[in-house]
Amino acid sequence: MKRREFIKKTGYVSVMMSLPQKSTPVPGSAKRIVVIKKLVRIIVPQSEEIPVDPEKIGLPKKVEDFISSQIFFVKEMMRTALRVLEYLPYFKLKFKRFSTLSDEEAKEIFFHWRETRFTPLKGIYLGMKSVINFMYYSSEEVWKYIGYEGPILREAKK
Amino acid sequence: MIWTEKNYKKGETKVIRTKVCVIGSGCAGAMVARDLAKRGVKVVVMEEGPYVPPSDLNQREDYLIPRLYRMNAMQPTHDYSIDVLEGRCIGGGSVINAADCVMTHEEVFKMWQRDFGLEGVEWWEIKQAYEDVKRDIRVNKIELQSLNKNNSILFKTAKKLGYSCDTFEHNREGCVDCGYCMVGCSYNAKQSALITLIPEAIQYGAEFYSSAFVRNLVFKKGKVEKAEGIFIDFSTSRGTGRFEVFADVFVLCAGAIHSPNILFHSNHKFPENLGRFLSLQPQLPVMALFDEELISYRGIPQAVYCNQFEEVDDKNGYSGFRIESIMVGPAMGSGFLPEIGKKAQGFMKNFNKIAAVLVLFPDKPSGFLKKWNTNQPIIYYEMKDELKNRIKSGLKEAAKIFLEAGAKEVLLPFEEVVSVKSKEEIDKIDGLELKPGLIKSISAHPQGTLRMSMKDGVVDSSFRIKGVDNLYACDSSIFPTTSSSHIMLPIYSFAKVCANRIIKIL
Repeated sequence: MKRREFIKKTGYVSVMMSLPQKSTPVPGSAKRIVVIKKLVRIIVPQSEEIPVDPEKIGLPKKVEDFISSQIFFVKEMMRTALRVLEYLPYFKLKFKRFSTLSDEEAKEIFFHWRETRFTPLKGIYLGMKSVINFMYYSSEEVWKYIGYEGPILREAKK
Repeated sequence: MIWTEKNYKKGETKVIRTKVCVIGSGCAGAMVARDLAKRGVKVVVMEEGPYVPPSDLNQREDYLIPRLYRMNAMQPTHDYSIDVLEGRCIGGGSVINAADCVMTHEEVFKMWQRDFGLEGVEWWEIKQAYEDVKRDIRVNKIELQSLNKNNSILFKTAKKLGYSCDTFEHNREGCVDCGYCMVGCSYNAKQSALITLIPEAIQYGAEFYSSAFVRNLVFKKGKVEKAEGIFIDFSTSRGTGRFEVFADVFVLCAGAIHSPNILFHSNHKFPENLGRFLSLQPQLPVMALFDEELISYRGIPQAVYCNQFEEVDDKNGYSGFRIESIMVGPAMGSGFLPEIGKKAQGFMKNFNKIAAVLVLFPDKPSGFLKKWNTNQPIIYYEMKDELKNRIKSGLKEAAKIFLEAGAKEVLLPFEEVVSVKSKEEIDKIDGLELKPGLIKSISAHPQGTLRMSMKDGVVDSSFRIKGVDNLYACDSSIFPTTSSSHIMLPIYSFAKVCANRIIKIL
């Protein structure tokens, strides 16, 4: 085997070994949405209280669009927060990415940051919670389950 | 004329020459612009936020909050304890406030004169300006018959308990009770600067540039030569072009957070207390669940206050706390939800049965701003023990009022669920720990970062930044301590006096 081919193959193997699943997407500009999807499932799940599937109403995409529309430093902070969130389970010896954890495990990790003394993590918790709640309760599909009639202007449109 | 994104060419550097450049178009900026333009002065106003005309105020929170509020109404303090709300649009805070009009007390002003050496400003001037402002923005008292159920609960129960309580004065005319005041009035009932002072200023020749973000001032020989900045495309939040404004006089009206930030990034040595003495006047929401439908989100959102526990004297100024009814839409309201998941949803499910108040705490100026980036300084603010004790007293009184009114459960503003279901449980509030980031609070009234004081201030009593002849400030940043429970009228009044000062030197 040629040297270049050896490095290519062993390098590939080592990268694959470090990943829990072959298909796990790397959180980059196009793949942040998997982390957001997981967050959406734990912050505003489809429940008997509000039986709306947040993915069906396109909530992850709305959240991603909301983040993308922010001014540079806010956008970068939120994107960095998502990257940190994705890899943080490794520091808790879970050896999985956040997006591949079960909902219960993900909720436990995310919830833990509420109490942390490390302010940036608390910021991720509060920031993501606020943004997702904001977009979720802005959705017309949710309003009928919370007794909110919505705008009274006929022409109320996006 | 109002210049908008459509008028700016990509990549262009626009050079603007004028007599007076006003930075910010909220209460202060609109007042200064109108008063100067009315006297024939050429005025240009640079506003960071977009122009959202009344026809675009469509009552949708997801559409309007990003357009009308700085950082989507999620501008945090350093430890995430308080969200600082500021308007960021043509018309600024006057477009998104609750339209409540409360003037600075004379006792507070006397204290300022005595403790901060404001000999250059007289109470009669402020009082005169206040009377003029009342006419300009059509201040009138809210009638009892226009109260919704949420406001009635506070009014009737406070009266029943023997507490001092009344309806606000406000600047609405022909209100249709839709309840969307905090995302701009679609019916032009709220007499914000957007429909009162700004059209008048334009009529007298003032020009407003929206989406025009002033980054810094350029100094030459101890005077401001020009303001530099960028035009912002709202959809991408990126700069599309640059501008330079050359003027004889510059007036900072960008609010208590951004006015100092512009100076942080300017090439001049300012007085050392720049950005210090920040008052946030924390406001804590207390929600209560009732059996009956209240539909609190319709009607005037904030019409009643209980000032039984408010203290005003010329020794300590404004202190104590006051309780005010409030309601917002579900998206904005969800920011106060405790927990996540089903627990939070369970509470929101009863959105139409929720009543809410804000408990407002006038504070000592103890926070400060730290230079960070051109868009945003870091807001340092810690709640002192004295304030924490007052917060507990305020929460207890709010809970007492709701339970007396027949609430099933009172939800306190914490990140975890802390509720009170009976009067016997009220005392448990004393044992609560008010940890940063776990208590939920907002500030709609940041003040004091360019303190007006002859002793330790940044602004002198002629509204001038010390050491700079042609730079003035007249927004909420100049108040030496917390000025009032609601700052719209004090800002308008002080800005009017400032405009009178400027006209004398032109």
